[in-house]
Amino acid sequence: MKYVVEINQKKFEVEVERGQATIVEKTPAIAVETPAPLPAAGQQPASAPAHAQGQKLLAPMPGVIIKVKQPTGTRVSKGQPLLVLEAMKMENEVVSSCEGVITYIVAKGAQVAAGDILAVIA
Amino acid sequence: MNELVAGIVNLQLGNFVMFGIALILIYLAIAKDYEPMLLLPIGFGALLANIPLSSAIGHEGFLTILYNAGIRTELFPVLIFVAVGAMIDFKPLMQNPFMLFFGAAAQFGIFACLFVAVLMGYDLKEAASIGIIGAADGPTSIYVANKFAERLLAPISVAAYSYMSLVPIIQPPVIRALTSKRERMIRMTYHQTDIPKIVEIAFPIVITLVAGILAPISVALVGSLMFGNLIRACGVLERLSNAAQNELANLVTLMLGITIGSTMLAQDFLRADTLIIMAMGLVAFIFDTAGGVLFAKLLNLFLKNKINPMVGAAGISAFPMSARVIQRMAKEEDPENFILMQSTSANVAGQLGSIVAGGLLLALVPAFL
Repeated sequence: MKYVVEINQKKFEVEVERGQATIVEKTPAIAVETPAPLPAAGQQPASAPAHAQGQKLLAPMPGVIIKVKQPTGTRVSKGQPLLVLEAMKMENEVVSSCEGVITYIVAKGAQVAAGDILAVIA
Repeated sequence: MNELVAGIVNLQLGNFVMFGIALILIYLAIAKDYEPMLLLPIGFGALLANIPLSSAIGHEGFLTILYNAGIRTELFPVLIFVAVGAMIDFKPLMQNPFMLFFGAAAQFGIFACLFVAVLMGYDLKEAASIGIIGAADGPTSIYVANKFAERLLAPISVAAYSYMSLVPIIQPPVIRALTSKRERMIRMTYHQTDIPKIVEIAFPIVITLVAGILAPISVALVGSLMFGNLIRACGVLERLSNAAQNELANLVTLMLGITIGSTMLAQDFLRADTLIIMAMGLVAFIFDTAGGVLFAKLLNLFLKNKINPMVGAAGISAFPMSARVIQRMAKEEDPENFILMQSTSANVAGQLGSIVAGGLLLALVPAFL
C-alpha cells in the first residue's frame, strides 16, 4: 500500500508493507520501523479518542478527511456539519449526530476506514 | 465561378436544421457540461458532414475513412472498452457481490424498450439496438447497433450519450415516484472488507472465460474490457494501465465522437425514426431506474436487513454519476445517511451488467430470427 503524505508542504511517499513503513523522498530513502500492524502515515494517533467520554461519531465509509469545519472545544448542535470526508471522489459532509462539545476531532488529511472514530462529542 | 457558389447553391433546409442540431450539441457540451468529451466532437462532426459537397465525407473523406476503419470494424468501441476496463475498480463489487443483482435488474429498461420497439413494428434486430440505449453505456450501444442496425447508429449513439449525461435529471423523479420517504431514509451499515490481490487478478480472467464460453459472441466486448481491467489489477503494468486510462481513452474518444457525428447526415437523421428513438431511449432509462428500485423493494419483502431501494437505481452503467445522485438523494432525506459505498457497488455491477446485457442481446437475438 502506498500513501502520499504531506509534511510541512513537503511530499513524501510512504510504502507500508507488513508493518514496515518505508518513506521515499527524492533524496535517500529512510526506513522506519513501526510497531502497529498498519499505521498508515497521516492517521491520527489511536490513543486520543479510544477512552474519550461521550458520543462517538464513526466513519460511515473509508475515505480521506479533506476539511475539518469545527475545532475541538466547539459547542455543536445536532445536524451541524463537522467535517468533509472524501470517498469515491465525492465530497461528503459529515454532520453531528447529537448536541454537545467536541472533545476530539480527527485531523485534516487523515485516511480513515469505515468504523474509525471521526469525532467525540460530550 | 460555378465552383465558388456550388456550396451555396446546394444548401438545403435539411443542412440548416442539421447545423442547428450540431450547434445545440456543441452548446450543451460547452455551456451545460453535458458529456463534453463526446457531444462536442459529435456536434462538430455533424457540422463537417452536413456542409454541401463536404470533402470530409465521401469516398476519400477522412471521416468516412475513420468510420470504415474504426466503427464498421468495431475497433473504436473495443479500444474504448480496454480503456474503460482499466478505469473500473471492481473491488466495491467484490466487497458487496450481492449488488450484482441490481446490476442485472437495472438493465430492465433494455428489454422493456426492446419489447415496445417490437410492438411499434421495428424488426427484432433494430428493436434490440434501440433497447441497448438502456444499457446507459455509449460504446456498448455503438457496438450492438453497428452489428444489428447500422442505419440507426447515429440517433442511437446520440441518444445514449445525451441521456447518460442527463442521469442526474432523469433518475430522481422516477425514484421519488416509486419510493416513500421512509424507504429513502433506510440506513445501511457498511462493512469494510479487504479483497485479496489474487481475487482482484482472477476476476477479469474468470469472467472472460465464463462469459466467453457461454456466449462466444461476447468475447470481443467482455474480453477487451477485462483485458483493460487485468492490466489495472495486476499491479505490475502501471504504465500500460495509465496509458489505457488516459492516452488511449482520450485519443479514441476524440476520433469516436467526430466519426459518429459525421454519420448524422440530414437525409438519414431528419426522420421520424430519430425522434422515436430519442423518445424510446428516455423510456429505457426510466425503466432501468424503475427496474432497479422495484427489484430492491421486492428483495426487502424477504430481507431482515432492509436495502435502501434507491441503491437499486444505481445499477445502471453511468458511473459514478448514478451512485452520486443516489447519495445526494439519501442525504436530502437524512443528512446522517451514507449509502455511497453500496450505491457505488451497484453502479460498478451496472457497468458489468450493461456489457453482459449487450453480449446477451448479440447472442440471443440471432437465435430468435
